[in-house]
Amino acid sequence: MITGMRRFFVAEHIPLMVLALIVIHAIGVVERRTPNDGDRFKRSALGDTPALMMVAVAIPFWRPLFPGL
Amino acid sequence: MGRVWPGKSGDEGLCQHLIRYLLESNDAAALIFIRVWDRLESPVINLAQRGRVEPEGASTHADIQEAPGQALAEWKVRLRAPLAGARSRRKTARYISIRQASQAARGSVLRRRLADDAGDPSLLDGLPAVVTPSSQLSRADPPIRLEIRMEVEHPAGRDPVHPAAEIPSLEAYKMDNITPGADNVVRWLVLLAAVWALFRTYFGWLGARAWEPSDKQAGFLLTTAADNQFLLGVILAVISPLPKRRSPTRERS
Repeated sequence: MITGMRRFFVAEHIPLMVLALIVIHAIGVVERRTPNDGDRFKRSALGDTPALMMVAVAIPFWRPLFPGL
Repeated sequence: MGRVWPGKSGDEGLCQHLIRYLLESNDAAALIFIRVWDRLESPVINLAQRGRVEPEGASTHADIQEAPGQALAEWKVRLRAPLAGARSRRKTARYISIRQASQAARGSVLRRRLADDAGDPSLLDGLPAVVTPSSQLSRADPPIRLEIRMEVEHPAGRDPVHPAAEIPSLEAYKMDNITPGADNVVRWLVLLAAVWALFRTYFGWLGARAWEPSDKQAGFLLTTAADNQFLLGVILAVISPLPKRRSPTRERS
């Protein structure tokens, strides 16, 4: 059983970040292909929100901004 | 390679340093030479008997050799403990080697060998006629008086550190201290870009305004930042700042 920091990176960080990246790119495609401006805003908003949440959850915030400081 | 640190007579501190070194050192195959002189106290034995770390039986981790030396007797303890995994496992594995060394030191075999080497039967004075196997020694047995000197050989070719000197603790090997900081800065760009894009899309959606080029730019910024962050993450994964799992050192052939 992987625990601690390694578990976070293997089981949370990498999958969530990759998923968020896929969502972000998909939203970019959706934005381009949606003809209606209102739908465009709506879809990108509804798509980017979970992406931002995933990123925010998966960021290792405990790591310092500049290691060594 | 090796360096000898003399221990003080009856210095239990040296043994504590030794144990601390063993616990803190990240070297999977550091060679610990414990030279035993028979005129002084034996802190190793005392520590072993106190049971600071509970040995768990397995004794294959340590390899104790008797070797001749200028000292009256000398054991070479080769640590071949699997150092990966939980720290408690490290403790156990390394502790066993110390324990074995101390147990071996307690056996009368030591003085018999000394007497043979020196050709001096008087060294056997006061010894029981029957050699007690070290496994059957109890606390009641009088310990051999020992002086312990320690020599540490680092297989990685690093400079050996005095065990009593500042020992880099495991903290030094944690990710925070060896990770390039690039991704930690860029992640804020990603977050800012995401917040900015969300801000624009939500206001555009709820405000029912027209799609502007800056909306497209916001999305593009977010995508680019996320891509770069991902690239940095991949680079980090290749460099692998995560403490690696070490495979157990192979059995010596």
